[in-house]
Amino acid sequence: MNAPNNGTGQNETAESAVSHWWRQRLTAIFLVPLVLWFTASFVSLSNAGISMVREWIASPGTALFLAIFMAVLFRHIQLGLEVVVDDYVHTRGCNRSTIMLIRLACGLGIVVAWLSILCIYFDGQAR
Amino acid sequence: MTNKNRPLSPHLQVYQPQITSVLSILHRITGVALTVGALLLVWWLAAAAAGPETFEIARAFWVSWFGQMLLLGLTFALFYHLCSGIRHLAWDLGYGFDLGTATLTGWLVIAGAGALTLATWLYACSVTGILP
Repeated sequence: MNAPNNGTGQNETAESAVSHWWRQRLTAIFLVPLVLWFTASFVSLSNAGISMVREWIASPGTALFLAIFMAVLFRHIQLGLEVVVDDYVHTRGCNRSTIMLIRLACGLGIVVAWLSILCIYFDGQAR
Repeated sequence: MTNKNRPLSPHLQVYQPQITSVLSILHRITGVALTVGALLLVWWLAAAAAGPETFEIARAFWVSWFGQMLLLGLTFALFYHLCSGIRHLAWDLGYGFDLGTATLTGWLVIAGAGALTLATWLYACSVTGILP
């Protein structure tokens, strides 16, 4: 098997390469408004202590959009880093294990972010 | 019969740097750098969930000179990647491929990223009261 690199890890099908390309663009488009909203909110919390930060996260709209933002962000990161790895890591075993590590780390990022948001949200509702 | 030592793309050393190629690799570098930002963001969220002591450690890091330098760099990386990403999306739709337009939009991306970074930090300074 000597199939060329296609942006989804070595030796994968052309179909999954097209889907990889589309997912990277779709997450990018969704991130434009999300990242602008988050940055504006984050900067307006520059001076905030933990209670203000938690109050912000605990409002239902914020919790929802923040959860969506973190998920789309880490999906976009995963897709992007996979392309970088495919471009520079050409040994098959090394390529696959690096990509697995990236997927694991990005999945973990989403889980920790969501647990934190849920924890703050329910604590805020209980008050 | 694969030659293991054949040159593999993308190779940066053999070309003279041009605005188009420099901005292209900068898109990738800022993307990787922003991964660090995303991880720090998860840390910030987890610290806020954990409680005041943990959050104070995170806050102390952000307000330290190293944290502030990092935030400044991440701000520029974010806005650069955002502007450059929009340029890429335009290319994906088939617009802006000719050399003159590509050079012009390249400079616009740099100017846009710089302006947005400046605006964000001016806003941050007004929020924290450093600027009125």
